[in-house]
Amino acid sequence: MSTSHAEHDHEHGHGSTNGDHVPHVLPFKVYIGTFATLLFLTVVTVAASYVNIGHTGNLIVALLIATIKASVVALIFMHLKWDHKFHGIIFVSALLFLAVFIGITMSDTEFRGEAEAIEAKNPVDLKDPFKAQRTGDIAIPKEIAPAAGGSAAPAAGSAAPAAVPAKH
Amino acid sequence: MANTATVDELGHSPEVQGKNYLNQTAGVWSWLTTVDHKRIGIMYLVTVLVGFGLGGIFALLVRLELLTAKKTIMDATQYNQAFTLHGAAMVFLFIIPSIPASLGNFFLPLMIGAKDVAFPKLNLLSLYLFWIGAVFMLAAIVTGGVDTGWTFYVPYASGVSTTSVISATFGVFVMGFSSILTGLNFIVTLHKLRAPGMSWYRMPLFLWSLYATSIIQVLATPVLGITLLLLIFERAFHIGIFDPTLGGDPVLFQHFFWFYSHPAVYIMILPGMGVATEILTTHSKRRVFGYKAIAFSSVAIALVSFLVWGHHMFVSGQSELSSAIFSFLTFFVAIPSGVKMFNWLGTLWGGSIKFTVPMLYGIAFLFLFGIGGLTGLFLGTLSVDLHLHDTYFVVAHFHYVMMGSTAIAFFGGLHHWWPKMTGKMYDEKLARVGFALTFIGFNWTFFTQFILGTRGMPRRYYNYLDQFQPLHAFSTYGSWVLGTGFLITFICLARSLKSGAPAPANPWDSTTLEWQTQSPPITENFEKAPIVTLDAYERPAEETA
Ligand code: HEM
Ligand SMILES: [Cu+2]
Repeated sequence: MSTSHAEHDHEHGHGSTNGDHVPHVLPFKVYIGTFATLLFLTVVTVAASYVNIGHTGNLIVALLIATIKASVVALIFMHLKWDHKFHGIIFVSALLFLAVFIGITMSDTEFRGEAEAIEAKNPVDLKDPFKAQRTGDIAIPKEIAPAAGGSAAPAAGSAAPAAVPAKH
Repeated sequence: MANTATVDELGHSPEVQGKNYLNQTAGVWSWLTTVDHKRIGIMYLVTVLVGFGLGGIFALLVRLELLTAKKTIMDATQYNQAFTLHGAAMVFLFIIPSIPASLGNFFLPLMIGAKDVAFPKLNLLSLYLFWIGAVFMLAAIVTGGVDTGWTFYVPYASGVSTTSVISATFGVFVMGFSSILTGLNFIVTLHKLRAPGMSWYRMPLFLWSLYATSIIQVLATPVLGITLLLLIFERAFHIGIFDPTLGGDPVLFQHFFWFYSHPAVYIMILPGMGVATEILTTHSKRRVFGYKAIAFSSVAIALVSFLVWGHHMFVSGQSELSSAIFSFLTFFVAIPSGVKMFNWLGTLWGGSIKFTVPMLYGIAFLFLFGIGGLTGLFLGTLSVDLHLHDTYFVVAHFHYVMMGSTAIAFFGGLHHWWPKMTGKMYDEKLARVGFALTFIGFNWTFFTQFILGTRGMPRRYYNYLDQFQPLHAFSTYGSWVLGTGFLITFICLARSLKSGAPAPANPWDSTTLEWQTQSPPITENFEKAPIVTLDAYERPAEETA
């Protein structure tokens, strides 16, 4: 249960103690240094927001700085740097886990409604919803295909009952 | 693992003979303040069985209402409440805690040769939280019911419904904490308290499945908590999160909800798979085929389960891209599930199968999970689901996996471990009758619903077209057989409690540790801390022919 400094202790912090807990005390100046770093990076964030490198560019810069700050907090203030590797893995997987949730959800929120635009260009004839598909379908027997062909370009709304095969 | 003979067959000294966790101390207070995982497990067991009874009554009412195409016994609002309360009670009061919190609590420490779980007081706290949550749910029933469906979809739940949504969702919120604490406790226990010699690969596979379940409980349940809190905020304070009229996004609610609730279906099934593994190996006297494959497929299922939630949302208006991704990913779940299936069959192959009551449940599990899992793949297929979504096909699918697989495994496990838990045997004949009626009634009720669904019968409809009436009626008759089956099972178990023959320590000749102590076990589980020298399903050399 020593209270020695990081530089001396961190290589054998693992396993040498009672297992779960890796006691570790940092010199005061490290905390002050971390605090100063965080303040400095905050200033950088604000400053960077005045430089216009495009919406995405600014976003990336801001997120990068924020990530560095969060890492400093986790590694030094929260002592993850000197802790068991396993705890670090757990910490990182929590972030990955969040990324999965937000990332896959964004595959919805960022791309919603794309089919609507396509459908607006090729409106479906409610009376014969599969007409357009049928003309494009190579598996349709010859005797039906020509009947639906030609005029089948789904001109908006205009139903052509004559083109409907007798089968209906 | 058997000790050298001393005083009784298990080497117990005279001091502990006749003593057990049930008679160590007496009185209600001694139970309410216990930290013994076995007593907590028993209290959970009683609680989830009450939840099952409650959900079951609502189920029978729903089926009765659907006997005819128009009004049968209740009006439309009551019908909405009945199916909501059925679903909510079955999911949150019964099936999620069923196996882990009752059988898991009781047997996890015994199976690794530990005295208790890592945090016994936390364990008791989780039970109390569960009770508190349940009280809120019951309060919701009494103060106006809930009619949103167990999924609490917005904007209906957050703005429109006039029922006690807040009380019900808050109850679920609190129960979530109970679930998290149990999961946490199990993870730490498995990491820290395994007996000397009990390496990871020597653990019974039930424990691997509980481990995987616990991971999901700890990771996913907080998301449910957040979701429900947001819902409550929106309903109570009109903060626009999900409700479009307040500027929210209703599909976002479904992302939140299913990000928990799809993994939650594996909270439900994984422990059932674990129980099935124990039953199949014990009652066929075969070592589990493909131990590691089964162990790691549990973990794989837990991980993949976090990537497929959107298959519940194919028609919600989510982007086509999302739907395609989720449909694709859904099929990966089938791989570890299939791995298990074939390894179970491999375990039975060439074994000396005894059709004991637990084994009947075990085999039923294989059969019903086969159907339930495969129909899941139909639903995961994007184009097919556009037709089947929100029809009775979905209802049949999830009843095959939740009721047909998990509940059947739970009852199988109950019969398997009953002698250990209570120290009593039960009437095999009566238990068989109970099983047979349950199995027949279940398929009768729910296979019918696959047919109804493919013919276009939507779920949650109060009135329906006349053409569906015969099949609906048929399904309702099945539910009566099913109900009778459960009733007989309960009578059988109750009679065993009252007058069952005393159970030997190891009635099924099982190899796992929980059978190496008395039935019922002493409070400390083992008189001498066990030292493990064999794999979970390995028999001592002199026994193997
Ligand atoms: C074996 C792999 C499985 C696959 C591929 C699968 C797939 C699906 C899909 C695609 C749906 C959505 C259907 C729809 O609403 O249109 C669904 C619904 C459902 N599944 Fe599964 N499933 C599987 C296993 C399970 C298991 C093991 C459980 C529970 C123990 C379960 C419980 C449910 C429930 C409760 C619903 C309906 C939820 C609701 O809308 O109320 N599934 N499943
Ligand atoms: Cu799902």
